[in-house]
Amino acid sequence: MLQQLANGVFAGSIYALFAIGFTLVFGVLRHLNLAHPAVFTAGAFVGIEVAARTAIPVWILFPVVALFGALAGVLVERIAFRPLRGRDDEHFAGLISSVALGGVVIALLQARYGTEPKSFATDYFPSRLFEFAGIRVTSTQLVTLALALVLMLGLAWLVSATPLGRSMRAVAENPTAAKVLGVNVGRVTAGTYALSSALGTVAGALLALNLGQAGRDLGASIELVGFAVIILGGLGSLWGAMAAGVVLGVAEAMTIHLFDSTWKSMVAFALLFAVLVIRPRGLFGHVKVREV
Amino acid sequence: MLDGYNTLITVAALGAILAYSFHVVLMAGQLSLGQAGFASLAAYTSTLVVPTEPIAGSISPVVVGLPVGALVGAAAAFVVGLPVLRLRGVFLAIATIAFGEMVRVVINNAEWTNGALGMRVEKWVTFDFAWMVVAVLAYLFWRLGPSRSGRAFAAVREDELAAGSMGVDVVRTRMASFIASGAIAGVYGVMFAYFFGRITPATFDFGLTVSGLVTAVLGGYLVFFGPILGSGFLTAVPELQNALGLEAGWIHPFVTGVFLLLVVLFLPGGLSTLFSRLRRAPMRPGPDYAPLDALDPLPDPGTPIAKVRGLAKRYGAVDAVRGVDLEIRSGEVLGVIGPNGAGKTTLVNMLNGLEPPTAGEGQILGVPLGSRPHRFAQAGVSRTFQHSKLFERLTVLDNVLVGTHVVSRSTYLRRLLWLPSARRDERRALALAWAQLERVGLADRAGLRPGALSYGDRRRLEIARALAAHPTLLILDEPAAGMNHVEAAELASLIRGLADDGVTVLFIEHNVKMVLEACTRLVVLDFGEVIAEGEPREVASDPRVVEAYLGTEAAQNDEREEIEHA
Amino acid sequence: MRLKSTTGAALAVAALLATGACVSEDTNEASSDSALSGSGAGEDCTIDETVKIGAVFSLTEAAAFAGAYQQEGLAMGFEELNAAGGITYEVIQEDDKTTVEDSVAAFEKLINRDEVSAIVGPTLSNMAFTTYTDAQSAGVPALGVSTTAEGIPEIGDYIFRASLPEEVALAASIPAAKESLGLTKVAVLYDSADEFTASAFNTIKDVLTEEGIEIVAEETFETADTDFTAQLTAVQDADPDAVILSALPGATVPLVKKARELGIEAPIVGGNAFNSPVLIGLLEDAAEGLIVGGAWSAASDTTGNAEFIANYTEKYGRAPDQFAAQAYTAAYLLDQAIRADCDANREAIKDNLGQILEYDSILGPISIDENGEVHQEPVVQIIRDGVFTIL
Repeated sequence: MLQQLANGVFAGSIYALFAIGFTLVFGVLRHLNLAHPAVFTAGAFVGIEVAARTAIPVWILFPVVALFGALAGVLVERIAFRPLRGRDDEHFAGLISSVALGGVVIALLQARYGTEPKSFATDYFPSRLFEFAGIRVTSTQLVTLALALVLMLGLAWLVSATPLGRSMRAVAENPTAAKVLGVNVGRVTAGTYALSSALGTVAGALLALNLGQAGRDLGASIELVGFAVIILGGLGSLWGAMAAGVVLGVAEAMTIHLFDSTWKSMVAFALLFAVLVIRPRGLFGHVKVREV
Repeated sequence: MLDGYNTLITVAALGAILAYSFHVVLMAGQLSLGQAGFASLAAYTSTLVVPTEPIAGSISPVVVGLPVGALVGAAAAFVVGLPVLRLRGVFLAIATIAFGEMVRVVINNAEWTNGALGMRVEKWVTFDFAWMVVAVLAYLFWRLGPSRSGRAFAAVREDELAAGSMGVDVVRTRMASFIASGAIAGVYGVMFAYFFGRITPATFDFGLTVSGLVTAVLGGYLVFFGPILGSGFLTAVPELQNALGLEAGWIHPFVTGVFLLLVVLFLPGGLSTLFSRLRRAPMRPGPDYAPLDALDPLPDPGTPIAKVRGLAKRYGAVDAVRGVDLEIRSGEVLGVIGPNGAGKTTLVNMLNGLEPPTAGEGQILGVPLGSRPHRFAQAGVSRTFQHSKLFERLTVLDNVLVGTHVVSRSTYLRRLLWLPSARRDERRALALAWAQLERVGLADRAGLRPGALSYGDRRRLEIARALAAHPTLLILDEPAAGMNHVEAAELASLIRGLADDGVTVLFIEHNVKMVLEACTRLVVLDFGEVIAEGEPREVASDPRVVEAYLGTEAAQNDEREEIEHA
Repeated sequence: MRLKSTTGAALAVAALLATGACVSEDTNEASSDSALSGSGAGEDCTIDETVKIGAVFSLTEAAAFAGAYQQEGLAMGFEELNAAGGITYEVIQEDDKTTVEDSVAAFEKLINRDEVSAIVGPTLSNMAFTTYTDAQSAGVPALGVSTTAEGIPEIGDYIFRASLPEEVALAASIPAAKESLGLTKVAVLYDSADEFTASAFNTIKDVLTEEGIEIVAEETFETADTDFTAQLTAVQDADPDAVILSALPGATVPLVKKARELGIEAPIVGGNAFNSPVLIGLLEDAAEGLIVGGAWSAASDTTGNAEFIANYTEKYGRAPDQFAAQAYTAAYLLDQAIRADCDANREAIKDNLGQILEYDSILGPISIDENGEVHQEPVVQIIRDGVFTIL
């Protein structure tokens, strides 16, 4: 039971990491960036390639991946969202343009890495098994959880205490007013995408490290769960997404423990459906005040 | 000639059918993505009812499956719609995706569906059959576009509040589009099953949803043939690449993605934008139409048409409106003035149902307070908005035609059968709309989109749209804001003319000169309360009014402004 | 009025539909091209006209892990046959992008436009169930090389396979594992959303019952899952003698790696999908001790196997897997069937493909019966020191 609880927390921390990038862009800019899963996948492949080529240690690898992610994020915004600004169908068109761009990214990944999954070398980050109070934990799980915590706290700090964060909150509240007050909306938009994609790519590389491989469908496999998490947490709410990721991970592990694993895939969506019907603002979301 | 291309042609048809199930919700502005679930339920159910032998020797047994599939899809959409249609935008999208995934897991775990192993059926769908279904759908949508129901869909898509205020039952329209989407998705599910002869739970996954959405948006959801364009394009691109000898592998998805991106970025409205030049300019109706014939007469002057007592609205700890008593009599021009944030807009929002009051009782034209907007509109309340709420992707004329919603009859089913009475009704609505455009002086701009109009013209268009409903009570929310004094004077005379025609007018205005010129009675609000009421000139000289207007205005503005227009 | 117009509309729609709804009974007259029948018999058979063979594999998207090997194996087989002379083959390769739509379209193209003599593929049974009914009604022989699901040859008399059914592979690997490891209780893990693995699970259950082995844990997952620890914890708690895993390659690597990481030391037994050098490459140390039932082994000394592996590795720069080996064999089986009567017409291939008896291939002696089902000895392998070794 305790072991399953721990399993759920570890699984949930990946969900949360994927979801906060998603929810950040939505919270600030009201964009649902469907290219996010593709960027997430790219993060995994790039991480594996960089690790294989340079043999740099894990704690340097992730900043490198994040840098790549930030660049990718800026490009995604430039290509798929900026040209649509102010159009009547901005809302739908952004969904489609990001789906299209996501497809292009996946095709490029295939061009570079082929059709077979790739993985980190086993000795790149050797996994060890620890046991605390009867709970078995691997070192990859610990690293994942630690990194997830660091990233989330870092993001929370960034949003609440830095100039960029303040501008982001201003844009989230009212883009027009923010502009009038001298916020460079274009730069904040780019910054938001850069942050979101940096988080996404790091999450992708982490998942690849955890799973032991990365295929081109890595992002697609977490996309739907990601949707569930951001809604459960309250769309646009960072803390909500983090909490919801963990709640969902634990709920899934408990379903396997107490019921039957065939119903595991149902948990996220049943929970999501119920929350949307009963409390559309999400478990942790607020009605009007939008947290970034 | 088509030998060897049957599958391609049929796949294009199936793609179009799937896209139509997205088209119908996009038309009404709903981002609903549960189609995979509806299709799955319909396809699996159809395997229980479709006969294994051709009917009467030669008719494809799928003709039994289609209505069943449509019914299953529609019923599922209705049941799902009840709880989820309260949601909007991305929330609706994700809730419906969740529904689709739940269907997949349930079918995967069910016994009778054979789980992941899937089911096999006979292949009863041929390419001509598939295209026949597409033709029927295209016909249904072609006839829907310029009908009263089609305009209602468009109005809900463009602006739900304005649509409701024009008498469109927003909830019903959204539900109708949702159910239609379920039905079409059901038809798709059945067609898919009996064309490929096999279904598994994974057939109807999220990927299917994405491709349907992409096809519908790519083709364009503003014209009826959009899904066919979209599906044709997506079927043709890989074939073209093959024909050009491009290596498969990563190049195919790459090129398709780039094409899709280009279309979305540079052709707003999808591929159908390429055909938009073919649209005819709106035609002025012939002189033989007397638009005001057969409209219900307005009540005699002096008849009480609205009476409310103790009306109040609270937002959290803020009283936007409190304790307002109001009586309106037919034929009067009632001005409501007050500083910014005094609660004027909140007041009129409650009078036409856009906001439910927190306290108070009464009725407007027999409709109790707290009813939904379309009920007030149907009873004869029509309005304009302070921040214009025009239907931006409709022409000026179509904007006004939406206004005729409450005084015209549903024409869609009759249009399907080309009944002359539908044509008559449509022409009558057109004549009525045209008369309003002439009344406000916009007849020469009927074919433009509102975005191309000047600020003053946009305000006039709002008035024309409101007038097209042949209102008993017309509510104008700051109609002269931003107009120069010549325009404002014209507007004042227009309002007086309306009063002469027997229309009761309630208007909110800052322009005191205009209020004094046009009104027969004046109500002054401050801090949500009525501080003065009566004959305009008397009220204007009331010292409390003067103080409210000149004294503290600047200090109160910002904060409450926000609340009022949130 | 309203009711009347609705009924009217319904009638109009029905009338319109009825015209398009007629089922046309296409009868395929077996056309025979005399240029496709040659002179001589067996080894000496020569056919003047080029014999066109269609191939449909999943070269992109989900099943590309298999399709790429199949394309290469088949192409190499026919190149060797062309070099041997007598008959010239042309392979027309189609990619079904792992979708049913493209698979059906590819079959139609090959059957009607290219007018091939026979078709090899598709990669997945899922697609075969729908494409093979088309091949059957068009009278085109189809030879599956990886369609291992139950019920494929039963689609019709034009449908054959040279791919060892999953149940046979598992039926061999489980008893072999039982014998060498002394299994009494096992845990079963399978992908419940995939038809291939779900059908394999049914087989596994039957074989285990037959062998008197107890199932102490039964867990499912989906290939798209991003975490398997909860299921593996349940398996670990049951403390089985072995874990039987029915998974697609996408989930095999994470599952095996994670199981080893969590300290599950019980041997892991799998079927056809395990039989790939790529898997070993991705698993590295975690692959140690995997038991794999399959149709082919790089370690077996079947006729021509060593040359096949050497040539393939030289030609494509990577070691072949079972998919490549089976596709390569398919080329030779078709050649056998054509040479039998020195006739490459569809009917002749259909008649002779079901007559192949104990053909000595790199898979070992292989037969195809008149129902289209393959018969061969499965190979059970264990991974020791990073290489497949026959158990």
